[in-house]
Amino acid sequence: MTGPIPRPRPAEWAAFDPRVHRIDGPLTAELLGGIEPRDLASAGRERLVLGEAVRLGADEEYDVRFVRLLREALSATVRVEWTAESIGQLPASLVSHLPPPRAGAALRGDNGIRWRDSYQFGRCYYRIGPEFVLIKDTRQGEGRGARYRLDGAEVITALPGLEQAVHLPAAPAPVRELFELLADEELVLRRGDWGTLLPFRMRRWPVPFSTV
Amino acid sequence: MDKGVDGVRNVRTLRDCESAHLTTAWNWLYGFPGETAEDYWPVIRQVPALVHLQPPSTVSPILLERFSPYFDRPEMGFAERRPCELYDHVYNLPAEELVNVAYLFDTDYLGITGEVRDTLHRLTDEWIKRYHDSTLVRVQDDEALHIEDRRSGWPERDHHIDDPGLIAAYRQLEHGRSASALRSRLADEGISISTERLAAWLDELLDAGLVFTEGGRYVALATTSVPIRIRA
Repeated sequence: MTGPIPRPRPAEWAAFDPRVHRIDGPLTAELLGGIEPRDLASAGRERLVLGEAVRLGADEEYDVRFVRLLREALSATVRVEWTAESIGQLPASLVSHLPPPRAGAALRGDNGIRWRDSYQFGRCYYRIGPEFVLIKDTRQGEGRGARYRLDGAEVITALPGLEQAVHLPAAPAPVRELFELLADEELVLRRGDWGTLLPFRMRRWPVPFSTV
Repeated sequence: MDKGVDGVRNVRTLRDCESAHLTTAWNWLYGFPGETAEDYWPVIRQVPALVHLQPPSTVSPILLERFSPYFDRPEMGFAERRPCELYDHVYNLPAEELVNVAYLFDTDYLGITGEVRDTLHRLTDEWIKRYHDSTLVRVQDDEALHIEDRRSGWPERDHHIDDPGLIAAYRQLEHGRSASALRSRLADEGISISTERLAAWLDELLDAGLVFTEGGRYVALATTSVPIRIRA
């Protein structure tokens, strides 16, 4: 039998931490399409570390897939650690509920700084009940928050479609109609022909739950 | 209070709620008739080891409430009681009628005082302050059990347990076990550890703040996950 509490080995531990999923190479739109945060969470991953700086604003599909990744990771309680070379024209007011970049050239711009400073968990999320969806949006501040209730079988059926990165021209009519409905309230991200839902599905509440 | 649970069970519940990302709203009550400083010191000394778990909302003396064991059984200590003073501002009733409608009752304070009470408040105030910056997480892989200690007030340490017998022992401690029960459970698993060896190991865990103990039972403190915490 070895020593009761073996001595610390922090360097080794950091390198082989089974809670961390690391992607060191460049992220492509195709690669983004293959990352499913819920699967990472099921495999015991709690942090997704992106080694290369992300560059938003150059490719519409890439932008939408990346925002979807941030949203789904939040829903799966997988913390995304990323840096950004650029966040393009992504307005902080749209994404202040998603985890901002931790570092990078993007944080030298006003938009990046606003995103970093305004981020708070739970500012825009939804919950699904029997045949209805509740959305809470406080991205503009608590005093200017809004709650939405979506009812009806069509909406419930179309919503999962919007959870994907959607190529809108090819999307079924109910998905496009729901997209346009939510676009009026800035609850979706549109980049050219691509789009996705912005609120994340609240699956695990923060502590204390009453703060959101 | 006759609730049928002990400190080890309560700490285990706090640990499991933290792992499950469940908000835990609870109060630490003291001021029970007959309590002594010696009842509190062993627990109070361990408060710094709990800072990664959700702290109490308040730390305050027990209030006598109708329907509670202390109310129903005056011989337990709160024989002298009177309707809470606040009722005088609400009801214009004679005292004998107020006794029948009151839910809360004032009593003489019969609990701990002085240094032990001050220390209880000081350490729980520290707990409230340190919680947001504190994690103690257990991760197990194929080769070892790792405990990552990032609690405020403790040295940053990563403990690695790679002996299969001790991994099994640690996992048993997550249930809350006495030393003898632990030894017996391990024997059931075909693992033999001497009484002295086990006692020394439990002492090491206690020194490192990795277990909480009360009444001869030990419970492991590391959580398996850390919730998203928001400062209220």
